[in-house]
Amino acid sequence: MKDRLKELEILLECDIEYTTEQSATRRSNHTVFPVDGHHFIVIDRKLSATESKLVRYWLEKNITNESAIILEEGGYVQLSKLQRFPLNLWRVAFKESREDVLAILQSTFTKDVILEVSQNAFVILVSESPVTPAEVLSIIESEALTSVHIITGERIHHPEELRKAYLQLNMLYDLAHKLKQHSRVIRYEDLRFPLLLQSILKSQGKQTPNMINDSELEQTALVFFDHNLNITETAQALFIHRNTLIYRLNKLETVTGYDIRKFNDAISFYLSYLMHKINREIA
Amino acid sequence: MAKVSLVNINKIYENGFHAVKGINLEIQDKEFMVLVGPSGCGKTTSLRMIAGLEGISSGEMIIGDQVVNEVAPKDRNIAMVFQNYALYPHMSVYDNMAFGLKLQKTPKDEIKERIDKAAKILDIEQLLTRKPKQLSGGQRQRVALGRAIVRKPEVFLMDEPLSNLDAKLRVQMRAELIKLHNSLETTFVYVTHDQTEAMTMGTRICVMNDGIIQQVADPKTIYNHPANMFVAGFIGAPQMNFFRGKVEAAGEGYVVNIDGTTLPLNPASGAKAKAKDKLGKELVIGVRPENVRMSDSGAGLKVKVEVTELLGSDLNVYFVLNGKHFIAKEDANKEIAFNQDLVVSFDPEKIHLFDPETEQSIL
Repeated sequence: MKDRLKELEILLECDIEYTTEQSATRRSNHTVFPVDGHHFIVIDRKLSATESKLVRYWLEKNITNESAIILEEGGYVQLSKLQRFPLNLWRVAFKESREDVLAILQSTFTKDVILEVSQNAFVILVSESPVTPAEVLSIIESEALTSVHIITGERIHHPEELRKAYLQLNMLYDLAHKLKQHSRVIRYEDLRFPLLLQSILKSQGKQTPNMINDSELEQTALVFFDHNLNITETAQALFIHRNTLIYRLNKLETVTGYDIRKFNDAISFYLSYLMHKINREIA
Repeated sequence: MAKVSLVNINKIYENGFHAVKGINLEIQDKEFMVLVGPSGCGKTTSLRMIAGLEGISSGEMIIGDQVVNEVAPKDRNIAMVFQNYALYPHMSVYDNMAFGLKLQKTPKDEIKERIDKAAKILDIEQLLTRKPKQLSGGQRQRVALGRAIVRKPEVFLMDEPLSNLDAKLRVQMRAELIKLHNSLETTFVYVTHDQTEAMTMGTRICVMNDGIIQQVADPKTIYNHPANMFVAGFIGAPQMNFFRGKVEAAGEGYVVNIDGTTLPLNPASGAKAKAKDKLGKELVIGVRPENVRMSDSGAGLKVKVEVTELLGSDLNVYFVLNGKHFIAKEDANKEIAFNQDLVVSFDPEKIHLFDPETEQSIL
């Protein structure tokens, strides 16, 4: 219980005492909640109605950690009323060294709530991050020496979106797994388009567009998109001569009919590519 | 202090992608080993496998005398420095450096002693009370290095630590890292895609491509005796020119024949080509831009100048031969004009020969 109360202290920005002393319940300008027949929690200030509701909810539902408030329907609304909006949800998943990872997150996100969602993952309600997800990843990997994945969700503006945003993190992870297998930072911004496409495909049934069956051409096209259709930068990234790249792009055009140097063809090809990848998973 | 051995190391991801393909590498104690290659070549994956941040599909990872395949990263006595050298924004430099040690429950006095020592080495003693936002990019990178140093690791693992710095600072930090390696006398494993960093910093360089080690050698050997066309092309800027041609006997010596034009070749290289039964057969002839000469005698390959680039001390001359593009590095004082017809030859001592099928050097 004492550990849980620490989390509640951070959430309410107050000091909480866990006591059996009846006298503690009579302190002025404090708020007291009975836990059972013998114990009380004494909060060092008067709480607002919303805050009191949250604490009662916390106690009544026998919630073991803050994350459950988000996971439980209804509870998240109470919690979310105490949060600053807009905010993003960041899911930090790690392999080991849980205590070290938590200490690092608490030192980095001093003003944000950190929720334990499983033994190997925390969700942070990030109002304004002082560091990028990639920086958090490298801090954790270099300090706690454990491998990490970070997923950052869509920016949300209202409490009602909180639960959906939480569930979206898992969806983003699955989608990223289909499309970019080795990325350790998965950002909603990078997957907005595939996410939209996935929801359309799911609602409309499956279609399988014709796709290339040549991993070299596929890789070439993806790197070309990553470099905003820039021939020079793509050639450098692939470590090939620009003439080789042009040869491959011509070959891609012959095979698929798309000249991805042109914006319209590029977007059509990219759509087909995503549909192909997502369809394969749905199938 | 420790040496690091990778024995038949493979990394195959769940989706079947074979990122590292049975590599063998022995990194000596106190060595500065640079893993270099283009993006996706497996260098970072290899580094992360040494750290234990990435699992090994098969093979043995040995640090010191211990097989560490099943040893947790924090028990491998390593320290990592990344490209994103983020610091805790609300903490002073001192606290940033102390944080990892506090997690390890290191006594306060020892923390102070280690930080003072590291700060002295890195020349950041006067910055210890500052917050990260009060530091320049270079200073922040030093603090990130300081965080690694105070751990007193047996092996430093660095993943493109200079990539986020501007060009001038990168050059400066390169020299700082070399000095740091000399003063710490610890094993460094350093990953970069930048061949200049590899050449200037490494005691030895491991060139990788497509999950395979292409060559491991000291920088001079890598540059002068590349094992294959990939290494020859990757190391060196501007990159090596590759011509199609043949080696032929000519009197008592040998020549290379490119499209009917013959150019002298040193006898030792010719003899090696002969010993490998390559005389008269199609080969790839590699010549570095600085070994392409403007011919005074009028004998050589007739080419047309496409572009010239004045770099201060050097002049890069891009030229066309039979529709293909090549480059020569000339003295900046030479007057060479756009579209000019030139005759070029090669330094016979510096011609590389490769098998066109295997792309391996035959020298």
